[in-house]
Amino acid sequence: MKKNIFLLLLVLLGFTNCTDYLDRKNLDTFDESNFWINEGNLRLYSQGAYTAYFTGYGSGYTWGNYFTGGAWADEYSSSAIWTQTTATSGNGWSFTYVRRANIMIARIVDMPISDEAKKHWTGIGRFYRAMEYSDLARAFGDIPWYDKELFPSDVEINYKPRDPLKFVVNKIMEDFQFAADNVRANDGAFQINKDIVLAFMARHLLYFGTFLKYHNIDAEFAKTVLAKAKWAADQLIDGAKYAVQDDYRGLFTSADLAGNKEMIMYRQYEVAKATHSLVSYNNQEPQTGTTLKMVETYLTTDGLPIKQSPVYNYALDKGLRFYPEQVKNRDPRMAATLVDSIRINGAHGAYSTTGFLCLKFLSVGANGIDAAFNSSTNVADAPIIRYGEILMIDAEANAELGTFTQAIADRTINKLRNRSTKKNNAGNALPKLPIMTVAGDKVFANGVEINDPDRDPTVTPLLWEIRRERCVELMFEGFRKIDLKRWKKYEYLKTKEVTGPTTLGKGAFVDLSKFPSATKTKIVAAVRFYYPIAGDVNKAFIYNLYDANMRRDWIASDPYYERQYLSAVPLDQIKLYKDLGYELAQNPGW
Amino acid sequence: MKKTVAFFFILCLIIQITYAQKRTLTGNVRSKTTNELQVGVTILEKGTTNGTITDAEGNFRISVAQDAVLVVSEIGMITKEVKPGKANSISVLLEPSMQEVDEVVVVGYGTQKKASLTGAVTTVDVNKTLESRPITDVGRALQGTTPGLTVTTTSGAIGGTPNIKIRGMISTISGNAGNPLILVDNVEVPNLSYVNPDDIESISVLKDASTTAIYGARAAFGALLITTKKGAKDGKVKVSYSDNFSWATPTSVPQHTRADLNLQYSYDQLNALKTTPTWEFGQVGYYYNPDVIAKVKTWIDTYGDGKDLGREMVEGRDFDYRTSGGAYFYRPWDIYNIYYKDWAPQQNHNITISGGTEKTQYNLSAGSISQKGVLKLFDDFYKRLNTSGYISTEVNKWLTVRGRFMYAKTSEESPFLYASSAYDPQYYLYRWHQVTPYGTYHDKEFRGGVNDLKNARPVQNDSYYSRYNLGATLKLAKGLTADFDYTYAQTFGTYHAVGGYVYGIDLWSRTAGKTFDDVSIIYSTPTYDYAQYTSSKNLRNTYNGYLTYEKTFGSHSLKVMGGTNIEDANYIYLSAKRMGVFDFDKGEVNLAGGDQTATSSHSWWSVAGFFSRLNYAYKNKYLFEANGRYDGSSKFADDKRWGFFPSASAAWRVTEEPWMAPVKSVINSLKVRGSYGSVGNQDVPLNSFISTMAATSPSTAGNYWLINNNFVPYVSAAPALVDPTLTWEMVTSLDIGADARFLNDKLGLTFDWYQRKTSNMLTVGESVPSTLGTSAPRRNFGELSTNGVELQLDFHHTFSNGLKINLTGQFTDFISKITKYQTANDPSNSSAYYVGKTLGDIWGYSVDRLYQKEDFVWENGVIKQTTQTNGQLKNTLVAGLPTQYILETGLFKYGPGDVKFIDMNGDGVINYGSNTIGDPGDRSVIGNTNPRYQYGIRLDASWKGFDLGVFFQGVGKRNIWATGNMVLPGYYGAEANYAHTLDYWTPTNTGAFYPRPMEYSQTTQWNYLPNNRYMLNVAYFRCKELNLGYTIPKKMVSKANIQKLRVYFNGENLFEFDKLGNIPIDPEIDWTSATSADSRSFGRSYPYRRTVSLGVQIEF
Repeated sequence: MKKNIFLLLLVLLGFTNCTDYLDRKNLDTFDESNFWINEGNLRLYSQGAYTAYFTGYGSGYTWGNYFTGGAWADEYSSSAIWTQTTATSGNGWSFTYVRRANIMIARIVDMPISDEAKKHWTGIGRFYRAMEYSDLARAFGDIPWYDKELFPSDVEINYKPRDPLKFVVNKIMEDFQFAADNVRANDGAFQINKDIVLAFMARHLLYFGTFLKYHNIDAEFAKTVLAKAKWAADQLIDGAKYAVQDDYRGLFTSADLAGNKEMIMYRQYEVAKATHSLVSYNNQEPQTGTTLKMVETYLTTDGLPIKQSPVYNYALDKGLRFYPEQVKNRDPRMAATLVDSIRINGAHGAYSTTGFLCLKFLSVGANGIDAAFNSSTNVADAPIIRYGEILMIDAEANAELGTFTQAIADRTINKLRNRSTKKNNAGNALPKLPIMTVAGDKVFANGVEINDPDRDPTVTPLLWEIRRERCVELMFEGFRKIDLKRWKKYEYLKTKEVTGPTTLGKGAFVDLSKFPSATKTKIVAAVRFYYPIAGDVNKAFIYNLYDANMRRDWIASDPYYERQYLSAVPLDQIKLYKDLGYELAQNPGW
Repeated sequence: MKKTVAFFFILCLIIQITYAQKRTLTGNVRSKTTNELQVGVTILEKGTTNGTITDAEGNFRISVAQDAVLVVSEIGMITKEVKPGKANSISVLLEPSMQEVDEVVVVGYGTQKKASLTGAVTTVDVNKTLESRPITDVGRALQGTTPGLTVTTTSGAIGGTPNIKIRGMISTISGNAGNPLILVDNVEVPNLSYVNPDDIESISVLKDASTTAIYGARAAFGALLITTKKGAKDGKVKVSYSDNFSWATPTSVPQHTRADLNLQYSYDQLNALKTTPTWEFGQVGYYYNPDVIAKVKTWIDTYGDGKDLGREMVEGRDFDYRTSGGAYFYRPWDIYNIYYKDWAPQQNHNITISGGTEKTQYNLSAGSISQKGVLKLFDDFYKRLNTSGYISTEVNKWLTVRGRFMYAKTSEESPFLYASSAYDPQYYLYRWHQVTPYGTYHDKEFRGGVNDLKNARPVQNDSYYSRYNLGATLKLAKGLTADFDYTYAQTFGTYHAVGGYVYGIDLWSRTAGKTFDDVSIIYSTPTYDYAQYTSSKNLRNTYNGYLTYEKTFGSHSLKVMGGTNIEDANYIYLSAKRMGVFDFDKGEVNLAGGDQTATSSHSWWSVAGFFSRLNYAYKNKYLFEANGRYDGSSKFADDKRWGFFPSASAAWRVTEEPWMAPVKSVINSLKVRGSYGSVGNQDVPLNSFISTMAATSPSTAGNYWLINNNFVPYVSAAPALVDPTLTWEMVTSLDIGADARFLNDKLGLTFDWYQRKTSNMLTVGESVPSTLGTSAPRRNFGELSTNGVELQLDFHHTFSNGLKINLTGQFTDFISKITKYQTANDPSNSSAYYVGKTLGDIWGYSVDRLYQKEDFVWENGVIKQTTQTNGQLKNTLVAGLPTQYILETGLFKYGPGDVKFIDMNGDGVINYGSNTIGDPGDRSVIGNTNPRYQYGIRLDASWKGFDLGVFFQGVGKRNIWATGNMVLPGYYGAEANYAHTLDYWTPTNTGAFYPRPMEYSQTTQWNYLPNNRYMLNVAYFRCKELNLGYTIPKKMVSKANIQKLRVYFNGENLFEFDKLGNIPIDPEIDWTSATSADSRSFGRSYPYRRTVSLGVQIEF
């Protein structure tokens, strides 16, 4: 029996091999220690950032930066007012993707892959870092630059003061340059390649070049940055792989963008896999309309601004004309961007708050029934970055550098104007705009010197027309507020009334006498109007900013307004630094 | 065969003999202490099934064998055996049982006499709690029965499992937030609903460290020990059968606001901030404007409820086309009647066969439940089938072997959703106005919830749990036994979903000039054109082995136990899906031709522990217990894996002291006890100490990047920072309690006070700046402290007329606070955790009243405007009223009919300060979401075969800050409101409860900033169960060889009292995973039900 007990004790307590038994490493995820082993995993990691940087039309009921998805600007009739309170947390002050890129760059060094592969993937890592810092520096200006993975113990580095914008832009430029020099020209379908790097490099460096210039940070350095933007754009233009497409609307509304020569990168959408809702918003739904100001920005067919053009003859009625006269004989891109009739609340189901209804993202043949055009099940592919923008970058960078010539005009803006655009892809091509000709800072159309009465006197006629071309070409693509920011022109967003409503506060001109009286009653009940002609209650502008609380003021050099150019550093971070005896500087005015 | 014949012959002979020698005995039964005659006492002839009960006068008459021994038994009395000898008339005196002297309580790896318990253990009265009720799972039945045990549900969904917590709602803030360990026969079950309530013999709730320590690793937050029935040794075969047929109806059903009033509210709300009202609003194809609202009113005046008009809609009467698309609808529908059944049936059946001899015992059982849901348009149901078996046999003097199996299959069918899970039938039932076209046109259905539901194929969700156990007990020497048990358990889950296409009139497409026939299409998207299977497999091995040694030397008794517990688990999940189904009635993956996707997950863990327990008692008066457990877990790194967790407890049975003798007739027993100890908790997320990089391989539509129109796998997150030194969380508890019985054992009381600290909690790392780019690694840092009290009372009495009553009550209360945490200097009051936070606290404003016209300065018929510092124009309040414009955003300005908050800090301005604890402005803690003052009261009475049981359960204090139109009218415009929200402010209804109509765009802003006026008070007192039964007198049924026959009526959730006023939601409701995914939908969840049932229990 004693033997038995001894045996039993052994059985009971004898599980001496417990160390192995308790060793259960994770089964269905990679470990940091076994992930960095091959190019395939680097690709997985790279693809993890795609939807963050290449949003396209977004997903579900978001639509990226397209249409009103971006911040409000003068492209939309908006009653939004300037941010009034300082953000307490978040606000974009995040370094998650900086760390993500830095880890990738650091891990590649010891990976068992070829030198060529190392260079390529390091280029991808540095491209992501440049993309992330471009966003951060655009939002905050000065920003701490980190090029390695940090740990909580690196206290002094974590809490270091913000690096000056100039320093950071230089780093961004180096990263882009490294990526442009090392990323493969072709790494397979939808993989980041040299062209994609160059395109984003051009976009972001144009931003920083002009920002540094117009915000008086460093004019000389600004030139260096702009030259780099121009270089990047030139690489793409000289490479001749891309071309302007005749079908302007097709850039935004195609179910499949494969083979579209204007796409440097695009995002695919597919039934039951990834879908969006941008087509739906342009399809039979009420929408936030564009402003009278934007409609007036489009040139007339003679290449002249409406207030100068004899074709438009603004003096005739000071623009008090109803559709279709209001939009007759204009830049063909207008017909490809806006519906050619007025859509007004009370009279139409799918109305626009300003009467001007966007159709830029409305697929040809869209109806109210098919899933592809309704709900959040749209499948039109989205441009991520297109050649048209590159041409505009090239034109603007040259103009800012003082190197804009007729040859530049011919290879950029005049290429865009040479599209053969059809109204809604049907019927005859619309008349093209005449080419832009230049002499120094002067711009001509059909030999007539352009002298827009609405031109901001601080901007040269050349730059004014290039900016107009950019605005028109990239309408509703999410650039406008960012452009005003870098040009230091938020004053254009002022809606406070000095002498009556501004063209930002107004929508379409409406002749109410053209509607049946029952409809007119509904319209008048649903829409607020401004009557420019005393005593005439039939002639009116749609007037959305009727309440003084909806209007924005702008007072130049007043810190309350000027601060809007940079985001507020969140207060929780400032407090955290202070609690530990460090200082995190707030942006001016916040 | 010969043997059998012989056996039969002998058996007949015996019967013959016994029959021949019968005689009749009469007598009565009295209580020894009161000398009162006892009614309903069972008299059994020992070794037979022959018996009777005493009548209303306490007398009995029984025909027995000459040398019969009578067994006289009665609940609450010590069972007595009487040998009548030659006497024909006898009088029996029964002594009340000192319950705790005899009662045996199941504890970890053993049993203990209740009298010698030193820790906090409560046993559940299994018969009263589980028998003859139409319950689908044990968890729900335990609600309110046991002090320290909190059982909550978030909706009345059929199937599903309730939340079960012991001592605190949140016991740790990592992992599973502290769930108790649920063990059936010492082995964990994944889900309490797998256990057939009829198989349960005992339930013990272990609450403090000294009682749970023996289970170590996974019982840190208490344990629920269930033992199953094992059969008897009396040589008889007992067959029992019970059934129950029940019908359930929703407890509360919110009613829509009448169509015209609802449309008017929506119209006013959407126009509230517009100087010029918008003429017309509409959504999903139906539009309304003042003309439509007037026509809806006329329709109701003309046709009333319209029930006799049929479902077909008539143009001109019920609707008109709208030229620019969609339509105007005038006819309201009673959507609840379209959706819900009045009564949904359920059936339970159980059969048990048990028996045995001195050497071998067995128990076999089978049970089934079939529960129908409340949906009318879809046959949703929950079914379960259970079988279990037990056999134990004594092989020889020193070896007993046993085997067990348990099998449970659950099946659930619910409608396929043509949307994500948040948008279930309940969501749509409550979403739109009554005029939404729920009728037909040209016999075609309209797009919407009703049509979706009608066209939904069932989603089948089945699980199969089976478990096999082999064990042995060895008697090694006197007082020394060894027990071994090995259990293998497996859970398989399968899920099968088939989508499809839905055809109907798609009004959502607003195409101008189209008729309903024009827009009759397949409106569902191809996203749902798939067949999908998922399967999961969860395998568990459990080995327990322990030695027990028991010895008494004079006044000293000693019990030592030591052993080992080893467990491992392995989980695999696989999902396969294919688009392009050929035939939806054959929704198989191999009968589909489109894209196919598959996903899987795979995880495992293991624990090993060595435990020991020592019990020592001196004169059965001073009791002492010590526990220790050395635990290892695979969830920590090699060198941080093992931990030692000790605990101890002691008790003093005061009434055993000689000097207590004088009061012993009043205080029958008194014991004071205390325990202190710690247990490790390893219930933390897997892989916490290694930096993992999860790859995602998308399989359903989402925000994904496609390459060549195919999903692309990716790794999204950078590797996180982890602390490789992570180790056990430590749960330390101190418990002081007392057990006492008074007045001839009629009154009992148990009291416990405890403090439980969860320290070394896995919490967020140190504060790091955003520049780090990630959060600091989680570490063993935080501490959570729960203090609570528990009280249990019972009282029983038998009246001279034979009426017996038994009253039990329990009360539980606790508060959990964060006592250590990484907290900023002055933390934000919206932080989930900070030092000093009482878990569940709700911060908000306090409401004074609604603003009235007189509160504002008026000029020329409009409120005077004042320019504020930021340039905005604001309504001017009369002098002396604090301004609250800081809380305004956009165009909203506080005006008449809006909420006026209280200036808590008296600074003349209503604001939120810095939104921190130190500077909260006018916000304060206005409520708490954790239940306080939980109680249960049970009354049982029996008289002459009738028995009545009533059980009440309640929560004394609890709040929820809920959102959505059900509780905050106007929270989301353009959707339905409910009848109870009609009391809103208008210039003529200034004393209203709700503010003026306003559109809040699903944001808790302006009037709906969290505040005490619109916070829900979900305290309640509910009649959980009422059971009325009648046991047919034995003499009437014994001829049919029936031992017992009871018929009963049962009612569940029969009525309740709550403080919700006229808000028609069930007080037990809470956010569910579906409703919390969309803040609009609180209250739109599966209804709780009142149930009435009839049933029979038979024993042969």
